[in-house]
Amino acid sequence: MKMKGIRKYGLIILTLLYFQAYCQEKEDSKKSKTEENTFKIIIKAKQKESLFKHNKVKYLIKLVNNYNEQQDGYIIVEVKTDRGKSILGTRYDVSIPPKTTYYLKPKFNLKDPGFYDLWVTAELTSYDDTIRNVFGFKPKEIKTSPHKPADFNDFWATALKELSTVNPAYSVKLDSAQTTSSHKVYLVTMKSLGGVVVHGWLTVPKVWGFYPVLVGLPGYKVVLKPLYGDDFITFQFNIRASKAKGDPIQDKEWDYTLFNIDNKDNYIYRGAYMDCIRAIDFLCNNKDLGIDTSRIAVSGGSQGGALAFVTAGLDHRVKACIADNPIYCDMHNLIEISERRVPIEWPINRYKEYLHQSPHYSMKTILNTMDYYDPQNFTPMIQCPVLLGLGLLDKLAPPATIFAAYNKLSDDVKRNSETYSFFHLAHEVTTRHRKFQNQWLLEKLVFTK
Amino acid sequence: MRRLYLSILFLFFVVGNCFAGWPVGKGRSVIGVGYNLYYGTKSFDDSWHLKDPKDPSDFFRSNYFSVYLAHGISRRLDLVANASYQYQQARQAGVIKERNDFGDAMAGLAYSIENNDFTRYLTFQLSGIFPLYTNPNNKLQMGYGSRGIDFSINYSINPKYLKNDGYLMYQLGYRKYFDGAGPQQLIGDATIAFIIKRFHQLLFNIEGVGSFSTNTSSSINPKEVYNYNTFKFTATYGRKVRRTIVLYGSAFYTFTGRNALQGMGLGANMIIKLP
Repeated sequence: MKMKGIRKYGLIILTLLYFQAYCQEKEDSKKSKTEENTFKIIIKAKQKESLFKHNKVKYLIKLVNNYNEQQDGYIIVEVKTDRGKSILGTRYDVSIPPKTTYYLKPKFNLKDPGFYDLWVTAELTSYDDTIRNVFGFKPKEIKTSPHKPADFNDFWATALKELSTVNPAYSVKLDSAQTTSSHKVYLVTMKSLGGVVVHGWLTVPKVWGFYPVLVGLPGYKVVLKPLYGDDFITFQFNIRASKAKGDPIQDKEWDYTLFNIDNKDNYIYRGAYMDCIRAIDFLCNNKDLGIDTSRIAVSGGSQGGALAFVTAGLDHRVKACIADNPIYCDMHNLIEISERRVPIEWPINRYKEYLHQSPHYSMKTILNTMDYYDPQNFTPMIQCPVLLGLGLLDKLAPPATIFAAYNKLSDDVKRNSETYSFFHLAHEVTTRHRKFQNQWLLEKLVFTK
Repeated sequence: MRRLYLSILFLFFVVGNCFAGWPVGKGRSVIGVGYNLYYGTKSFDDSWHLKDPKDPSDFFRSNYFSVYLAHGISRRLDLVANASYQYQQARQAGVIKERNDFGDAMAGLAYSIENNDFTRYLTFQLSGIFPLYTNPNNKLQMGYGSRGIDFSINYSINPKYLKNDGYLMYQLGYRKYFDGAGPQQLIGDATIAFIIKRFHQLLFNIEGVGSFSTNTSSSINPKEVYNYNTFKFTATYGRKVRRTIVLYGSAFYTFTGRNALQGMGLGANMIIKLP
């Protein structure tokens, strides 16, 4: 009788477990695919995140032969600098029987900190391919010249002073179309440098409380929309160059990265950087919306990552900074790296087109301006923790340029900061990292008061 | 009760749509306060049959106040502790007894590991049990009055087929009281949670307890029974009312058992996360 009762109700729990297992299996079975008649090369660094801290660089290369025939030929493993110079290489002659896996374990000794390409070329009976992998060698020891102009600090002090003279004329309007049962959404407009009107979406949970604020900063040509967060108020802010109604720049085809690039005082990012400061001004002047002004974080990817670095550097009301794949970092090296790649990546290709059309200017003209806007010259001023995410295959924002900027953070800041590298990604970060950002942010904003 | 807190703790962050918040998070804290009313008159006998009390006026009632604390030592390691204060009344064979005193306290560590995209967590918890009372003769027992140890494994999953971040949670625990007659207990439970609306949720839990001891005596006071089995069903509704506060209301019912009171009751809990 005893056992009968246990069995009966234990069965209910088992049924729940079975239900979950069944659903999981169903999901997994969808993913499984036949891998007949394929050849796979799996490259794995013998170091977390493909970032090596010691002289020995070790890889495990798995050659999976799913063909029904033997694969004969060779594999070349080559190490190149991020400027494309071949520095090491090994050739392996292989004969891989059908349906078997073959392992290669290349090792390299390196000296100079930096990022390197690992090229694996396969020439086999039924398969040929070339695969690029990237690894870092002592990335936190990468040191580059900041090319910081002597009047850099004065330049930005003047800009901030100029911004302070502009009446912000904040306007906060409830957007009923985007407001939900759980969140209020406000369209916020304000005047920034030069009287340019910029806007953002402030999303406030309806559940009462003083909330930390996460300021989202836009990628290049990206127009941010409201973001519904539960633990934060979010302020999705669009800088002046965003393609939004009312913005001064409306030409969809035009790269605003070139706008007044020949003149540091009028370059578009002077205003754009100040727009971000104005966004922080707005938050600090509107506590009554439930904003905890002592807990403001900035976050962005690509251009947004660069803006996050700059905003955190110029404005110490920012208490945490999240940057993913920030562009425009270490411009001198970025140009060198990009120029040696085919095709040349944005923005360098646009600079070249511009110089072609304006032969009286040179790359030096552009660099003279960009030295004032390079995020690596703002990172030494950052006083809050930084969370950096980067894809090692990124060609728009090569990892060496990002670490060049990150490494210029002060030692105190670096102690509270973290980097996460994704060897299999280019200009993006993983979903896990996005979720981790929430955890990191909540953790870092604990101690801001 | 501890498991309810665990559920609540997890739920709190689900409500916040932030799985990264489970466990508590480095440097963060969660404080819970709760009240449970537990009442029973009928009992299950040794053959799992529900029996009326010998005297129709027999009953057991407990007003249970509890405090729970979890503090994130690191991203994966939490310090957890709870304590309770109870007011109990029992009438058996025409004799009414009542007593108010502290109950057992528990303190320990919980270590969690998560899967790659923060949708599954496995948590190991090891706690010590410390009685904050003594059990004089002729007074109602507040518990077993013995130190003990509790180990549990909790597996939580946020499957796609449960919409809006609903989740499943399974827990298996072993508890050992060090006193000679102190029971060894196996505790298993399963929870399914539905997010019915942002900031609102509903969860259902089944908990089974097997308590084993050489002491096979019976009593209307569950704290005086060492050898028993119970299966309990709990339904809980939770709602986030402030950025840092979630309120929960629950109802529970012991639907079968052996040598145990058929308890039922209501609970109200408030969880505060800091900051």
